[in-house]
Amino acid sequence: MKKTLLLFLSVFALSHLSAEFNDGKLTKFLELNLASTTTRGIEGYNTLFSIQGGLESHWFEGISGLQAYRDSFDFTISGKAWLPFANWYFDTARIALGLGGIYHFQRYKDISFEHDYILNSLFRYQSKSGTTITFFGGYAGKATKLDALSSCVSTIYDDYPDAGFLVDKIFENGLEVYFEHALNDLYRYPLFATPHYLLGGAVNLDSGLRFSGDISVGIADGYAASPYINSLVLKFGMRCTF
Amino acid sequence: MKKNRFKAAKIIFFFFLTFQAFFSISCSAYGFFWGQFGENDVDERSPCLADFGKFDLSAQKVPLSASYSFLVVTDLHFGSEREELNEGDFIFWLDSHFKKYSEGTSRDFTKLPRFVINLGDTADGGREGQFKDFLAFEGKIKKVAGKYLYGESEDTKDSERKYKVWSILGNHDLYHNGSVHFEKLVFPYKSSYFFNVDAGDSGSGFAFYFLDTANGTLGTKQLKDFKKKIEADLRPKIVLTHYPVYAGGSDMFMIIQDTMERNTILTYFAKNNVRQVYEGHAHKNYGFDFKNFREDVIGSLRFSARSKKQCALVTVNEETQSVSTKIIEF
Repeated sequence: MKKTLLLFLSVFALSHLSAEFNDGKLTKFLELNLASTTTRGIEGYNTLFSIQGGLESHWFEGISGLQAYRDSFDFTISGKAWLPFANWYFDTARIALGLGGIYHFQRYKDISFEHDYILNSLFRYQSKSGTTITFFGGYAGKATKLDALSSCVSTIYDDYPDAGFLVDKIFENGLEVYFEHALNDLYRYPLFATPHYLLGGAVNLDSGLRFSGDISVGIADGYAASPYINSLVLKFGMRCTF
Repeated sequence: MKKNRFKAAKIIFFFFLTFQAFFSISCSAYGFFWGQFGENDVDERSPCLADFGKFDLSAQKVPLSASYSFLVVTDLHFGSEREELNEGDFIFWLDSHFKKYSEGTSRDFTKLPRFVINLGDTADGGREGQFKDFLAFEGKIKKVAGKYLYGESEDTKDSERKYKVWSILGNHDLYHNGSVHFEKLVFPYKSSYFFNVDAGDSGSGFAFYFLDTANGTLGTKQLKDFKKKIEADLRPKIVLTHYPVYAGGSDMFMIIQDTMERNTILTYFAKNNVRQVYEGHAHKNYGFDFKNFREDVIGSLRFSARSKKQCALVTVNEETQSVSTKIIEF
């Protein structure tokens, strides 16, 4: 736990140290989220707290964060790099290809430790009018240690594909809407067929503050079985960009 | 410049279509079922495990001991036109098996299947007629087994046959509101239940827990109830599900997808004297040994694309609290 916290603080501090390397276009943000789950799903009815620090530039995006509630603790660090030789500019838009990586750690109280490693390829369409569409797809590995079985089987392994897309539109007046359909979110990494659908809105203020709210619905084995909603999460967030 | 914008728009459209197709459409042979099956929700269908108490086999005329066997079949997919079930081969084998171990020098009553377990995907599209086709097949099994175990004859009425086939739901059984037909037609008319067998009359024996995983999850309520019931039950246990829980993890599309739920279920197994887990869904035979319990996925009796058509003959020894599995291929 201490090591993870140290890693998070290091990444966050690093984002400050490396500021301004890209002609002043690098932005940093700190975000706080409060989410409420419902009785649906393994998390039960709980309140989830999370904090993320991140940096964004024309060529790179990085985010690291922690999420905690009574039964679980999650840490994630992820990065996206847009390839300089795979950028195409048009009058009103930019299309870019990139690579991404994610590491996620989870401690599920009295049950398990999970480590997820994901490598992604990325495709992004970004218009000057504020529309961003990002597709991502890649492959992931998961190593799990189960408390109750650790004396018999030290670690069990899974591998699974990762895919999804995010559509985000920021209007001139600062209002923002976004929709994501993906197999994972920042702190939840089920195997292939349990996607989530996220719909949200935000207000971006000139001061650099952003207030957001979204609802996320997760479907158990959404591609083979009759649909069962196995998570329903309502989240509110506040982001400060500087 | 307009050409470039058009090209960009085309690329985006192509990607969007590909992802949409990938995400939104599956199992097209069974209909575009998204949104059609709200009522087939495991939380409403199977909030708790029904308790069938002691499954009494003492009426069987062949002597019973602390070691006994049962059969596991799965993924029968009645109504599928992809491949034939070859019912005749199975019934012929069953009759030969009973005959071999009931009489003569090879007589061994511990090898006689005292009951059958069906792990789901009974009906390919969840249609009523497909479940009725299964009932006809079940009738043939009961006729063969009833002859050897209960002394029943050809003239015995179907409603009076005593041999039991215990079934649970699979994901295909839910299509087109199939669980309604399952609960009306297929014994024991539930998909989440438990019973115990005390063949050696020692006062303990094994408990059998049948879990409803037809939605790809146990659901919140069933999981909670399962924990409560297995914690109160000290007997060694055999768990039966349609979806594999982990089973090695290599068949990634076929297992319980939420790993937090998966880890929780495996923990309950490990802490509560579960000795063996049998699963279907994958149409393939493989397993994983956790050392204090074992998961085995049984291949389909109908389909041969991933493993030979098969069923499993399971032998339980109540004295040693062990379970052994023999795959019978067709």
